[in-house]
Amino acid sequence: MKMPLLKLQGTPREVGRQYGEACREGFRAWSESSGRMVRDERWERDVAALRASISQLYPRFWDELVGVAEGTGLSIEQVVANHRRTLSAAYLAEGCCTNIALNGPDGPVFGKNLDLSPNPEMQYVIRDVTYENGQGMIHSCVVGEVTSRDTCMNVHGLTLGGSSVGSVFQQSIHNPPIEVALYEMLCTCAEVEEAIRFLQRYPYVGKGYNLVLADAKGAAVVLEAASPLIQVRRRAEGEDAIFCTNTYKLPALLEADLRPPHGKMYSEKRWNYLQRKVWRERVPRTVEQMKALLSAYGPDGGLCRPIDPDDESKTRMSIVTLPAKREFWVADGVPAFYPYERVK
Amino acid sequence: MDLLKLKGTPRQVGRDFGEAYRDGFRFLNELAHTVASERPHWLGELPVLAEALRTYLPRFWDELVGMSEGSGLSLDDQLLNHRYGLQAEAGCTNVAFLDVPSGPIFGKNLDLQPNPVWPFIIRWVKYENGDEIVHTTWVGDIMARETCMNMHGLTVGGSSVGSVFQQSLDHPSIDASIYSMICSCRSTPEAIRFIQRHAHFGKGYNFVLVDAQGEGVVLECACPLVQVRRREPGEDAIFCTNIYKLPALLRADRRTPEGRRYSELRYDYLTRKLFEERMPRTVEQMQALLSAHGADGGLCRPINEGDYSRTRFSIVALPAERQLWLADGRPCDVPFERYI
Repeated sequence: MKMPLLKLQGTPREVGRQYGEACREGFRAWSESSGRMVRDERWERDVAALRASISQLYPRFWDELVGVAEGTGLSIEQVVANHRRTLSAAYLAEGCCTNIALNGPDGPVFGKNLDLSPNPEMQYVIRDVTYENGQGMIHSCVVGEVTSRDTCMNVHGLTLGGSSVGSVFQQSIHNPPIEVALYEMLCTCAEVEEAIRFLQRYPYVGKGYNLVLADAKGAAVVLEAASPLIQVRRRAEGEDAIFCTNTYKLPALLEADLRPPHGKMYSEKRWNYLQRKVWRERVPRTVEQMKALLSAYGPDGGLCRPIDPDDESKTRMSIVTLPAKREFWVADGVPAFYPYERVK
Repeated sequence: MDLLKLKGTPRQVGRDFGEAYRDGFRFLNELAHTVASERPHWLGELPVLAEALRTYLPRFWDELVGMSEGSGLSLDDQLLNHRYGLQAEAGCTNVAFLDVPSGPIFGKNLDLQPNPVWPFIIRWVKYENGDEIVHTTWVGDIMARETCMNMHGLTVGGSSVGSVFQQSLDHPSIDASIYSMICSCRSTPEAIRFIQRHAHFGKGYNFVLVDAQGEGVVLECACPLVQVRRREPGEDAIFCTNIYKLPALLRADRRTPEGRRYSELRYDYLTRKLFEERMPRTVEQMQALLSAHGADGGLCRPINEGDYSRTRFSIVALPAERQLWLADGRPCDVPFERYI
């Protein structure tokens, strides 16, 4: 695996400092890129509002950002501005992922393809974090951010994977950012229902995601987070799988996404592929089959991007986790061509 | 309609309210128990409802405790009254003229089923911290959603809509949040920020919100979500009936087809009168709008023979002058009298 694996430990501030020091150049490049997006006063006001809500509601996350600033040599405003970038409309186009949770003979299996535009600007790392309070997680993360939305599994096996969707609803910058709330949820919760309750405490600002959330006991839902709303899509009785792509599926949210027609079409292709494989063909709920699903593409459909010649996205990495066994496997590239390696 | 003057801490105010209307509190509680017998989950929800109020809106909670003390109801029964109020149906219209030189004009018809049993009063409350509000409420709970104006002139009036979204009882009730908003905010932007702090539990409403400076919006509260509908450029009025109008919420209501039809009739009537016929923006004209019914349409219910709702009372408020006028019945039959 070419992607760096960072082992970080200590208080949030120490973890942030270590992360910042290890990825100083990446943070600076991301910050310069974010700086080019600063065009008006609103961005500055937004950064001030984010600073207030994060420091007030999520003090441990705030401490980690302070540590990042110390480690990178960036100002705290620059670090928060990096976070502000995740809220921008331009950022929406970047993600078009698939997330799946299956319950099989060996326990729950989670799978995710992280799909981006062909030449993404982002650099990724895997952070393996152990906090001083006994909490911890392993997660993929864009260098320049502290986020858990891509893929994250914590010490309890609680696992999260997100797909970008967008949200048509008005948002308030004075509400906490969804990205921070998700990270803090993974830092404090052990099970799905606890996590739902944690996340539903506030309305959020953020671009809108579907998030598969699965725990070590086999509970799994999709959080349809059409910011500021958090709604929960549950498995029908007797079902042993749940998944999401880039459009909401709850009836109340069917028109709440911001996907362009092409993005919506490829979201539906992957959704329909999973419907067929999981429910009609009833593929085995095994790790091998999860990897096969994530690696599939071509005339029969699939999840590995580009699925076909017209598909403009490309799978950047693929991750499989076993929440009950705390195993975390990564294919650092298109999973049809790159092997999965165990990193935890 | 009684005008009840109250003052003191929230707990004192609640206690005085409960003592003054002990029988009314018990009557509402009997109704609440009757409805709860068909919704057995309500009783199990009360501790969660209480915790959310205590955590997020402690002054409202204190007033609830005071009402329980004054009325002699147990705290659970007082909470059940509040729970009952969160689902009570109405079909109201709220209107605000915004760019009037002498100040904004707010109008509201409270529409219920033909024979409602709920008794209403007007409370004029002066809290120990200087907050002061006047509002209509039914006896047995605290409501600000019907009509409420505070000492700064900030005025709110609600129309029931419903919400298709999932909700969590861990959130404070929208009714309690609206009351707390009016207790503590001075202007429309401040109130919007206040109400957007939390997700909310409740059935879903449209609220006309207008301040003394004439800044007015409709809060489209499809609980737990709060969205803001602003007037279009060039418009000098804003109003709401019983369905959402923001594009993102067009299918988020829970109106019946009949309810939706009469909501649209009133909305279309206001659109025609205000933006096509451009009727004058005066108190007299506001009263005329609220009193109109018949073949040409109107807001006073029943509007026509097929309309099953009935206007219980009508209110006109002048936020800049802190005046509140009430017609205690159908405004086509009963004159508006100045209460404040």
